[in-house]
Amino acid sequence: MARGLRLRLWLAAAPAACVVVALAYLPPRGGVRAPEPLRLQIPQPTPARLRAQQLADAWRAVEAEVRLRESRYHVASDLNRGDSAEGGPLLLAAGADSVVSVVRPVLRAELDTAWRRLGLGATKVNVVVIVSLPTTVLRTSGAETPAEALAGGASYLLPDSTDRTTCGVFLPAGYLILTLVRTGRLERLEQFRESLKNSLGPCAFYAAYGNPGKPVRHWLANRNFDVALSPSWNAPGNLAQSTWWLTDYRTGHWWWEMIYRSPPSTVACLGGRPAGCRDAVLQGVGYGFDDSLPRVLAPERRWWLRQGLVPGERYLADVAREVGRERFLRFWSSAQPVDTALAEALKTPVGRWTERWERRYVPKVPLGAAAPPGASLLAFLLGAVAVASTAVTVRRRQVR
Amino acid sequence: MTHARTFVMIAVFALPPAASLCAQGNRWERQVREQLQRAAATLQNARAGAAQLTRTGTLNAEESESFAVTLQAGVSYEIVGVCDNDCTSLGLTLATMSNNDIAADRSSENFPVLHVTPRTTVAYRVRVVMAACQVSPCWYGVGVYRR
Repeated sequence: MARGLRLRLWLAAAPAACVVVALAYLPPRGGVRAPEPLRLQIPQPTPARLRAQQLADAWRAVEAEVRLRESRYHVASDLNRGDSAEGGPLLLAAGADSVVSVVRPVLRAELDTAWRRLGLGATKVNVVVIVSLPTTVLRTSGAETPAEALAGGASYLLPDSTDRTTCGVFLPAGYLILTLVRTGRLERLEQFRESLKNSLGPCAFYAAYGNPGKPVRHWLANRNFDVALSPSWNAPGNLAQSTWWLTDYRTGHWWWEMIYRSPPSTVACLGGRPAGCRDAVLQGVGYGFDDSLPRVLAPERRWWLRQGLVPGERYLADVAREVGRERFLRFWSSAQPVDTALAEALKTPVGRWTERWERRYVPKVPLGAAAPPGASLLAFLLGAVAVASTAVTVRRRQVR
Repeated sequence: MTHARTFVMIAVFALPPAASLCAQGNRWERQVREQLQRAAATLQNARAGAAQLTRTGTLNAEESESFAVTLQAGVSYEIVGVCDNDCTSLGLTLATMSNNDIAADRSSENFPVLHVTPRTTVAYRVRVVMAACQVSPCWYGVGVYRR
């Protein structure tokens, strides 16, 4: 009877221990789950919404391409007139006359400021900025902004063999420009200037350094120019600008779901592994040199969530600032493979330099097995109980 | 041929440009037009005729472009290539339309000159190769002069 009772006790104790262990460890922590009961979650759009977004993106890309190609004919005579340095980039504002008359002088002045801040003078590649303005005057302060006007960033028409000297930027009127249209005043001036400067994106690189050599051109095109979206070579970035979407703003802890959405090489680079950083930089290098590169570049919706480096948009600008114009120009127009040319410019292995660069923006992310202290203590206690109970059982055991 | 090239080269880089060309195009295009004008002036002084053909354009590093020109049998021609200040190596080749090279200058850095006297009157292909350009694209110019 007593033996049967002991056996039942053991049979109940074993599953109970398993339940305790499961409660402690499942779903696996290991740095994957945030501790809060109401943790941040990445919104999962429905298939219908995803389809709608794809269609909207395709529509915007086509519209941008049409507008950019049309603009070539409008500005051809202006481009032939003289150096672009005389007035910075050419500006085409399309919209109602009354709207254009308000916006154009402000945009002209701000573009010139952005151009000067980039340190650009006379450029071989002319930049044409086309701003799409509303066709009607929106004076009512409460008027709803058209969604298509706010959505999407700038698109680019890059130089190619049919026109090597023109780079087009198609800029949808965002919130600040629409506010300017409504109120006649430009709000958040510094933010607007920074945004306008960044909108020049790859075209600013083309203007500053000319058309890239074939290896660099193919490398950038294969990765959608994600490392050349911000021409911020005159201003170092800082930590706060880059990690906001990698951390839970309420706790400051890593937002693991977001980190692990990135490609493995990106995660490895965030974890401080130079080999991962090298792979993240050289992604897109080995695809061959066929001549079918797309001329129109439309960065993806929320491109920063899928970038190979964090913050990848600043990468080449930071390289340019660190190595100086001459060395960067040699890399940019080099006929050598990208890894060789980049390592030569950096005078350091690409992975090691990039790992150091990454640390300027993102603290080292702790990767690998990481048992939390509470769970470790529980495991230790469970182990101690198991050893103790076994010892007690063995002591009581009698051999007859 | 060497003397002709040296003579034209000195003239292209030393003589002042004609004022009429300075107002056209951007600064790199102007550089090329000025150099072509100097080459033409020099060759005319050396009893060459007016340019039979001039052509300007842009090329990225390692790109090339071809165009056709009809040359008369038994007539001597100077074909001069020039490029802007960012270009460090320009190549010039004259070939038949079936791509058999007749004359080539790939070693004159940024100032190739071809001196040819064709045996038959047909269309030939002039090929310009932008071998090296520090800031792409580089402007180039080609002039075909009859001597």
